[in-house]
Amino acid sequence: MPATLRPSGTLREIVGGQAEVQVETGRTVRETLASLGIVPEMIALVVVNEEQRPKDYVIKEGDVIRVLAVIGGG
Amino acid sequence: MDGYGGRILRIDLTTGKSTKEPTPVDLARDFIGGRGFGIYFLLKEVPKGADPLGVENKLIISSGPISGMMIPGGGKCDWTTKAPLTGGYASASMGGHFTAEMRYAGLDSIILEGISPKPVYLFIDDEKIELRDASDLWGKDTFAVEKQFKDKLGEEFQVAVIGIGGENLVPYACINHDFGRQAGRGGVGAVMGSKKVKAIVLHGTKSIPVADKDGYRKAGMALYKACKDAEGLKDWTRYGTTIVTSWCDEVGALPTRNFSAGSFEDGKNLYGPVMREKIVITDKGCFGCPSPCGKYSRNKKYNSFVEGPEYETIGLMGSNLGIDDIEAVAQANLLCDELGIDTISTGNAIGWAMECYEKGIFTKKDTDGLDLKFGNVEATFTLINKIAHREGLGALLSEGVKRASKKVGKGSEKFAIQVKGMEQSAYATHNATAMLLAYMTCDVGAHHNRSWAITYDLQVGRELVTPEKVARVIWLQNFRPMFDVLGGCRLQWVELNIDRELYVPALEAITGIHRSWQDLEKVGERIWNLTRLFWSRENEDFGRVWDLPSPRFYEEAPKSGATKGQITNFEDVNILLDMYYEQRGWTTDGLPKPETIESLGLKAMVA
Repeated sequence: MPATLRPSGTLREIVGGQAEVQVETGRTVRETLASLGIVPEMIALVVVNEEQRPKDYVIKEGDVIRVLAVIGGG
Repeated sequence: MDGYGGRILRIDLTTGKSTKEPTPVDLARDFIGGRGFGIYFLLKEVPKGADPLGVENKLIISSGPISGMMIPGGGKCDWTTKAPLTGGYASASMGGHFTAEMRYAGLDSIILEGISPKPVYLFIDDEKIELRDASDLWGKDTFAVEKQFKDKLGEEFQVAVIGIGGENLVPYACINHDFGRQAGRGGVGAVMGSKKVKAIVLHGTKSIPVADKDGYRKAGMALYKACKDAEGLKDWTRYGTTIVTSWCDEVGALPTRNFSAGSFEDGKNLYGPVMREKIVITDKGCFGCPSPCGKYSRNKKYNSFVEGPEYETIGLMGSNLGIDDIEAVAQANLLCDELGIDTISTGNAIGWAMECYEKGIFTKKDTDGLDLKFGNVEATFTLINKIAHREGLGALLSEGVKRASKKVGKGSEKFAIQVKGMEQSAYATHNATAMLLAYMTCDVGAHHNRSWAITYDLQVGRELVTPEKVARVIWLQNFRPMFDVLGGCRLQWVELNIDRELYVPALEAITGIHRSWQDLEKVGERIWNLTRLFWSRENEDFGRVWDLPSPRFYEEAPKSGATKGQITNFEDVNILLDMYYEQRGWTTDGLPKPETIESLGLKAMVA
């Protein structure tokens, strides 16, 4: 079973408007984001299976990953 | 008039008389509300050269057409005045519930004029308007006063109050409300203190006329639904603005030891999840908010409760002072709130003093015996008190880092982190050229909220100096402050990424006037130019040099962290300004050209 990445808000535009993207396992969240065209530095929060994780987390089978970008700011 | 309370309330504190006048229809049409009303009254009514703390200055409090309405974030009001901190324009935005009660009392603006001969508070209950004796409140902290009013009058009365800092005319004193919300920057609290007004207490029961009730209901519901459905709602609500602490640390934007770096080696102890687990007990929102970003905290270490800290306070009172203890930061936040001084300017001023001490510019003789090394929590608490009371070293620091460093000299001006006299908020800008330009050109001084461009830097290349970057900064400056005109909060758009077009039918249904975002941005541009004209009217030497950042951001690359060795060179700083002035239609010295003033329809305003 592959892993699922759910980009929020305007990040969806970068992945063709999709609410969910199937991603490869065995790579870090950082590498995965870059491969999708999302600049990893724009991501403020990575949540894997409802737990906050660093961007260097290695994606495992069945993971559901939410990423939150800081677009508009404070 | 649809969408408005319909009255401007003037309080002449010198005579004690109050008058109400109808809100001018053309004012509502051209400037809409909030900070639009603020700059209009400031330019028209405060005479050139007025002493910010004198009888001629005015404190202008304005709601907007979405304030107090069932629109997400309709809980903001604007406090405009001539700033004691900078000598220029000040406009501070305050959340909470104050603005809603203002509207229900039928008031679009409250203008405080003159100076009261004795301490007073302004009491408003619908049509009942009184100045009451506040001699017994003078000298009390903000929380004690707010609680006293709530206990006496009930929860429905809303209170805006100054602390000891405002009474003592600290140029960055703030105004507190709702036990943790502030009109924070520029010294609006000092202006209220100079007028001898301890508090404004208000309550209203009127409804606001709406042009299209059905349209209003539908548009409001659509906005709330968009917030509720937003993917980021859960996380933004859980962490609020502290969501960016770890991110800022990672990208080198977290102010560290007086902005000498942008990453803090012990930063992880200040991150949002750590704070949530250690001290946060609940979420706290403003009027009508579907995504409450306020975090209410129980601080076991210091046996205290506080709203916050928010990201800005964590940056300035934490990493910027070399403090890695979130409970200590929360306590510093509480002290500032009680005393009524801005946490951003206070943290920045203490950071500057710590650097002076570590560099040997200050000895213990200068610091009242304090061992003012970075990381000294107790010294920080002591200095916060001294600043509010203007005692010892606190008296110097209370003047703000621009004036303080000018007095001290010895090279300390180079690490006074400010623009136009306002201390920089919590984004280190060694290598983020759009954000640097945003600080340089912000209309109140070095504040982030007008144009938060740092993610754009990361998106397109942080070191790039391009016309596109400049255009982005200008667009944000015209657009984002429109939320402060409308009387609403920008964070639903910022954080939840809801479609801004959803506001258009809501505003039309409330006011009966259709305005596209293009129309609204034009209003934003007009206001931006008027604020610039106010600065130049009030400061004879105003021009390009006022827009320069701290030399720290073009002379001293950080020695550690994510931006180690990275710096924007001075030539690029000037190129940024050249491009900015050109795109704004300003002269090479940064003043709006006559043709720009004319094309924006502002000639009559500045004649």
